Amino acid sequence: MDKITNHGSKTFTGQIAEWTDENLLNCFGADECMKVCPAEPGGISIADLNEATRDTAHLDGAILKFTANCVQCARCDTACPAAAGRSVMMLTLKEKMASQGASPKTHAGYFALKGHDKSPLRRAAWNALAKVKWALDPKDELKRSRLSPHVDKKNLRRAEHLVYLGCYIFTKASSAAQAVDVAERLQLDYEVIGGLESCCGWPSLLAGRTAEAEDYHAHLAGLVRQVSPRYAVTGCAECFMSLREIKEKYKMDFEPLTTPMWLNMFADRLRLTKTAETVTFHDSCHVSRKAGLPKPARDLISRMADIVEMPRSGPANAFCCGYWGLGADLELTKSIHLDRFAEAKKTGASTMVVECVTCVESFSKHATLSGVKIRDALDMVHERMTAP
Amino acid sequence: MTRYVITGMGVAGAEAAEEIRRRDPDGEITILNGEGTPFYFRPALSWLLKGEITAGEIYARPADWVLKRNLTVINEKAVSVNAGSKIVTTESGQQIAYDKLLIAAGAQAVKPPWPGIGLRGVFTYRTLGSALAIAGHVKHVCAKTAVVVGGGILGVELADIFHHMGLAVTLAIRGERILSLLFDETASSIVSRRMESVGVKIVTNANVKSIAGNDGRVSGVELESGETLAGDIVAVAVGSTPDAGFLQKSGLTQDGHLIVNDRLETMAQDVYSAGDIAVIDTQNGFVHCRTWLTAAEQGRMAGANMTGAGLPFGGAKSFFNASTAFGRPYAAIGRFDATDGGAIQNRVISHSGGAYVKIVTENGKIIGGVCLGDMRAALPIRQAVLERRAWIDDRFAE
Repeated sequence: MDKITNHGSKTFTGQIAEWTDENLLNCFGADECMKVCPAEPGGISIADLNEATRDTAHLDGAILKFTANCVQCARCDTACPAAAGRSVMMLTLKEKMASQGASPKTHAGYFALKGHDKSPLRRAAWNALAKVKWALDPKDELKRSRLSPHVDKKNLRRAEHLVYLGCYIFTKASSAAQAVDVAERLQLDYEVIGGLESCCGWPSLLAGRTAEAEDYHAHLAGLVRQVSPRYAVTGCAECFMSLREIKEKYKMDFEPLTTPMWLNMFADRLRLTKTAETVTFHDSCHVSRKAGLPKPARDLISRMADIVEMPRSGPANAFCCGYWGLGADLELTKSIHLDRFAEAKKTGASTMVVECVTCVESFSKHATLSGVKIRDALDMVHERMTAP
Repeated sequence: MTRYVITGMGVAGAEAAEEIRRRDPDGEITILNGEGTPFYFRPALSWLLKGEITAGEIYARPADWVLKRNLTVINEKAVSVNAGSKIVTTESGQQIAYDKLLIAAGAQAVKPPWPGIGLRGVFTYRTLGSALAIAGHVKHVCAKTAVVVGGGILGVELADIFHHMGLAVTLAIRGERILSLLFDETASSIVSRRMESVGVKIVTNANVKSIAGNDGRVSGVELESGETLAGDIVAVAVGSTPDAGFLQKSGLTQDGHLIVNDRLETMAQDVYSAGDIAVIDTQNGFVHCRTWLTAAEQGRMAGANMTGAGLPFGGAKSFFNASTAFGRPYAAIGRFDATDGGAIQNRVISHSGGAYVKIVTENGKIIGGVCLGDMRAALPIRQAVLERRAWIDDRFAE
């Protein structure tokens, strides 16, 4: 069943209204979606939620909070006995939230900080600051050398491999720089797209700014077209879903890859060594559940360490990393982190490996509280490649 | 101001009311609600009986829905329709004039004329009232054993409910296998093995001779084979029939069937029908599709057409029926088995660990499928059927 997925690609403008309409009709109130939802919708009935979705009344109270928190993990979709896509219905609510100006303050902060609100000056300042920091901090040497030349750069060349970093080029984690470093060390024909301008649009979608997400898609499609890659790899699960979306929407001819899928292509050249370490693996909601690809990361990791699974693993049970609705509810984020860390610890593994930089960033917020080490699968590979 | 009258407040009636209100904010909408309960999620009755949702969660609209949509709900059944004078009469004799009428009275469970069918403790299962009556009887008589007659969707669902309630369950079916109208042999056997593994006894080729009882109370089911199946409660789920009796003298029915065209119009002007009671006259013959989704789609379309939209229904977008059987969610989409051979073929996608997913193709295009135990493919298959695609999505292409 690994190749079978839900309607993960049906997410953007033009499809949301149609799908919401159909799914509303299909819902028969079994409540299974709410039972499995990590965003804790306690107290909200399906009748109320459906009514809010179909009605023109303003969102408020528990439904508004729930709408902001929904991270589109699609756990609801796989749990629904009627196969009604609650996640698409939630996008309608998110659109409503944004259009009513009812978004949580954290959203405004997020977009102002990340420069998504289309201020060229703010973006330029952000880019410059990032480059200065990378230049000054010795710990950021890899970022300085591998990322600085690529931030929102204008002249893209054609290449077989596109390393797509989007806005995660700025994350604290080293994943972005490591991906470029791997491409360099493997002497691949590659080009890099990264920066705020090449955002995949996912944060906008999560905030209900659907038209803006669509704009980002169109812009990204144009950038990818300039590179005309055979493979487009990204270490961010949301970016991966967006690459798949634009490939389908714009009829483009490239293969979207997650970092593990990409690294598996070079398994022989990487000469990965297996240690006695035992790790556990946290599935990405997007990659494992929505794209139906739980295997590539496991295949890659098992070349380096034994994997012991957590109870909530695999496409059906993958559980959100706590990224939530762009940090709309930080308390909830913390509780989900601690819960997940406890689950990881029970496996006996001291390291929880992930394949998505968003998961790395999210879990890292509270990792020190747990004693569980969070690692990107790419980081494990990079460590072996660069070991003396 | 247009006067709209809707007989029935199931999903077809409710969706029609919703659509009429959306298109005609000032229209006068009256719903005759013979069941007398607010609009509820009929397919979720088993969740209610198993305690997986609360009594309040069975209702499909918030409590203020009737008020917010400015509907008039009369908790009475229609007993006759005079399409000439455009009058509907209710069981209390109230006469309601209409400009546009939707008949969405639904269907009722078949109660075969078996000796003993009227004994206390014999139930059919279709409405919220019947579900609550079943739960009440189990509790009242401290039932330990149940016999379910019928191996279709509701029969299996009842067996699941009684098992969940802790009763020893016997399922008597007329044919060789359960869910034979929905599943192929493989899918049927997955569910029946699951049922038997939890202790449900399935009796095949079982023809009921009579319902047995003592002192007016049921004690079991006697089969023509001579076997007696003991039950403190007997639930009969052998099909449903359109609730069209009240239309007998209306001139709207043909051989007891309420037939509509592709705009869901009956033969009488300004009279529409949708849901389980309606039979659509299509190019491919008469279609009678009794699923929640189809009824909802029909209700919405009928509501639109009552306001003058003039939209063709064109048949259900695709057959879709989904529920859960003994912990295994399932969905049957479009054509769910290839019995023709030749151009129509089954393609099994996965079959392991109690999960079974297959698609049915015709000349390479997906025309249906079955998901059992793993619903991830249900939506993509449905989408592929609707779009007449040859693949579920790009990840599915071989």
